Amino acid sequence: MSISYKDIEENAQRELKETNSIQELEILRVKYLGRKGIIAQEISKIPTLAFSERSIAGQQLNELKRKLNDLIEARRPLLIEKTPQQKHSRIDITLPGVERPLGSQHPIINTMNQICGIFVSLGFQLYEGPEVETEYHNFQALNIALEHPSRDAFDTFYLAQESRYNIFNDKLENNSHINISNKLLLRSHTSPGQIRVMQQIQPPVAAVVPGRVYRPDATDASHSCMFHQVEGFLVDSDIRFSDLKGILESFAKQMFGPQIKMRFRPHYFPFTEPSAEVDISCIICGSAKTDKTPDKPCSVCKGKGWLEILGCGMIHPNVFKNVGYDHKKYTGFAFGMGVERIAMLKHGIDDIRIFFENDLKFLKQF
Amino acid sequence: MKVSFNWLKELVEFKISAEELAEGLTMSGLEVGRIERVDSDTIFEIEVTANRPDCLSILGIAQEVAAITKGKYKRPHFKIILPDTKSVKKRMPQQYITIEDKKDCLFYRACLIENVKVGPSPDWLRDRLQSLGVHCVNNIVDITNYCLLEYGQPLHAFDYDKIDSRIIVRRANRGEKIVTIDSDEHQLDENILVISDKNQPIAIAGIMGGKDSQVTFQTKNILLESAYFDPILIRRASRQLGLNTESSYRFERGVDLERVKVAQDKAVFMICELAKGNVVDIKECGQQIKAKAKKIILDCRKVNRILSLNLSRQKINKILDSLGFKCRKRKSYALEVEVPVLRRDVLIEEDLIEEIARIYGYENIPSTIAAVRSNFILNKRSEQIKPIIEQCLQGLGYYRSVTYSLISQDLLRVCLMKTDPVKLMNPLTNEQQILRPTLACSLINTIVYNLRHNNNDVQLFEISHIFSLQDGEVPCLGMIATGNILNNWQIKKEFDFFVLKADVITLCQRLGIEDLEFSPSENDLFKPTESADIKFKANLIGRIGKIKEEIISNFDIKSNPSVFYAEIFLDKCSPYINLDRKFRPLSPFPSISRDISIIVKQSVRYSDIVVVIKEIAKDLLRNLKLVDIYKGKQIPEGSKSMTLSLEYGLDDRTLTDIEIAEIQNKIITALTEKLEVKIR
Repeated sequence: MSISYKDIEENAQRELKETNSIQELEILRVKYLGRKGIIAQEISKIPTLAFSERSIAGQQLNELKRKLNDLIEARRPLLIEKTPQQKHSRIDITLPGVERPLGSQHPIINTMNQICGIFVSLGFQLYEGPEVETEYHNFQALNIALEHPSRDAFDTFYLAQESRYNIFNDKLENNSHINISNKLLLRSHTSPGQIRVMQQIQPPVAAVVPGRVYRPDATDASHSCMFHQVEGFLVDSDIRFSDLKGILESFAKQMFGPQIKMRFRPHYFPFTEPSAEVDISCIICGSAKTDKTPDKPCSVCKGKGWLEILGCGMIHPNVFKNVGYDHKKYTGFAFGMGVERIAMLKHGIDDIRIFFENDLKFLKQF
Repeated sequence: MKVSFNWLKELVEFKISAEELAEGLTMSGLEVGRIERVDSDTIFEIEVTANRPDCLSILGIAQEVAAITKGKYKRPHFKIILPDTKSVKKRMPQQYITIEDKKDCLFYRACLIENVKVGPSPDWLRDRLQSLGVHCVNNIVDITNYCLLEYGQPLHAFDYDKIDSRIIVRRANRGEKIVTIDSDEHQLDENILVISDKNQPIAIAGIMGGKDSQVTFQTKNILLESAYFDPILIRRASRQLGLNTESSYRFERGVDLERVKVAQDKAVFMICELAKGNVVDIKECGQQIKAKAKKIILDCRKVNRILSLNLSRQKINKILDSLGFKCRKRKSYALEVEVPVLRRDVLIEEDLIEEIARIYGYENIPSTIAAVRSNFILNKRSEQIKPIIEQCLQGLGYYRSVTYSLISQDLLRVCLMKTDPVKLMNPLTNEQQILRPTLACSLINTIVYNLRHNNNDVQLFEISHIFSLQDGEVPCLGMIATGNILNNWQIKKEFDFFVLKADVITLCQRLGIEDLEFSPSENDLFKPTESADIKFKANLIGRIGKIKEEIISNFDIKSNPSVFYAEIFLDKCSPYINLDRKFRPLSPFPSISRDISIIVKQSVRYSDIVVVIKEIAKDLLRNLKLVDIYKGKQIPEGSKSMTLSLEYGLDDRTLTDIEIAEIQNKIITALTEKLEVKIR
């Protein structure tokens, strides 16, 4: 009886060697090991055998089944490598990816959000005021005399049809103090936002006011009639000049990196006293006047080593008086910075006009 | 302002180098922009802030230098020369000077100098002026310029013999003209203050002298003017005439009444020395108000608190002293500070604190971090959602753009806008004279710009304010697109109305505004057949459509691309914004999908079909999707075929096949009855 099993094994082995593909191997496997395969058929014949042979036949068949299974599985990996179709069906992974569109943030808005984000993380709240402002908010309330040379820096666009313009539209704003006869203009800085917040809320108050501002500057590589600013201020019972330094230093390190150096220079703004302009060490050449190379001065800082980035100071008591804050009880600081300038420095852009062209080749870089 | 290092050395005893001094000036508030070597001198270009007219003179700067270097300030001395009453041949007649309005000119002083020898200045004077960028004319003019630089007081010398009879300080008459020394002719009017003789203006007060009366090499007798003109008046006139001079620059910042005399006396002294003149007469007109020194009580504890310093009263006293302030002790902690008359910028205690801080050095003030506390500030809803919009639209492939809020009338016209826009009174150019009433114009313009620069597939958005007379300023979102949304080797898909519609819906869903309505609309911007108002609960919150081809062709571009635009009025939709999300449990019972294919008349709208289906299926319908829409072969003329996929389900059990078949049949019946639909 055992001879017939030997035949099965030999046939199987011979046929196995002749298989050339996974498919053929599968056919072979079904032929021998399938539910109705040769082994199964033999097993089904066991009851017809003599009683003494049954257990031996069972053992041998089980052994054979295991052996054939091992042989088939041993051959499988060889065939996988051999199968020619397998090579063809591999995708050409070097083909270009199928892109889906993804937009981007504009570098100005990005920079502005970044600036605001740092101050918000320090506890400042966001506020956005209107772009059409009253002369009062833009000037007088900020202690800027209307006919003083200090206004030279704040040349302003005025509205032509101010009597017909609906400035009271914004119901959230407290407009009770607006004199109808007040001239309307496009804010020339974000500082009127400071006034609007202080008119609404008693100290302590800390806010950042981002937004568009307008000045009648002829457009060139570094001037634009519209640009963005971020204003910030903090008023509480014991705010000091040293706090202004500390908070702005913290901002600069987060914005420009921990290696950045900073200096405060006395300056003049009508709405702060004492006032300062703040420079950071040049982020292009990195030198804060340490190594002088007069033959090849850095094109960004012009060899000075410093870049002016913002103006600031302790809020002038007159501003507090104008908004009804007790200037004996409270002190505070305010600062303002131009977003375009910072974005230009950060990204190495040398012409402000490119921001407003919105060329896709430009926008895609951010 | 240009300042000579050598000149400073003559006035103050100090040892530091020019570079060190420049650094010191910069760090104490007089920013040195540029350092330039001229021969043996070093010239600083100093930026003087608007509050420090006293520093528009070398003497003012010298006072600062003395404070910074702790060096001794040596006031210049000269002999005041009084009129030579004995040898007088000429004199100004009585009532020679008249000031019409004292508000325009507080004080006017004229000095008559006879027999001057007009000629070139000596080398030292020429060198000094030239190194400071001043053009040399003759010794008389050069001396007035020298004294201007020294004292900050503008002076003017007339040829006395060219003045007819008298000097009148008055407003010009409309129609009067003057040719100034730069040979330009100026039209004058009543806003402009002039110095006039009997007949005509001979100088624009405080700004520039007239050509006819200028000092030339032929001049024998001169009238030297020194005055205090009203700053606002000079400022307005200077702007009106577009004439900025060293003189107007100083007058509009306010000159010092004390120096009106002193500077003139110095000039007289120099003219007598260098041009051999004889002073024969001096006449003053107007009240010379003796400036009273202002006194401020300074609390030294407040100084130390604001600056986080621990300066002794002596130290504070010393700093103020070096700047020319006079201090007296008051109580144990205070000083009574007398402000020099020249320092008109110092009015309150805080001003003194700045003086102390800047001389002590801002860099020596410590850095501290205050606790940042704030009461709640209500920010507008439309501002709060900006980050969500930005994120969502960037994900949908839109690039954020930033365009000018100011546009031209022309752009409005090209975009067929007929609104009455908000205009500027004083635009700089025609390009920027209108506050835009919509973002559409700027965004169309930006699309055109990109097409011209070979960017053909463009999706942009902008969030900004728009302006109208009636509604004032409102926040708006604009989205615009053209070209392909997908364009690669597998798929090419052009942007169309429905892509933009889906993006609007997706965005609004993010903001918690579900079930937008799109209703047909007609306006100037959109092609009438592809245009819709976007509404929520019957309130208009935006609009969407294909930009009229007429508008695009108004721009000079070769192709005529399809451009799609949508705008959302953020203030209009802000009441409906809902950012709270409540979790709805996921149903454990699966959905079952069934398709319905129908043939329907062309005039039947998709929304009609949806209404019928929803009416029947009610809560059983979990989702409804349009799978396919087809026109052409096998479909009768005037009809279209639609395939819809309906997803049924319940939250508490699985629907049976029988139930679904029943619903499907009902839907089919209803569609057949109501919309004359045929089932395929």
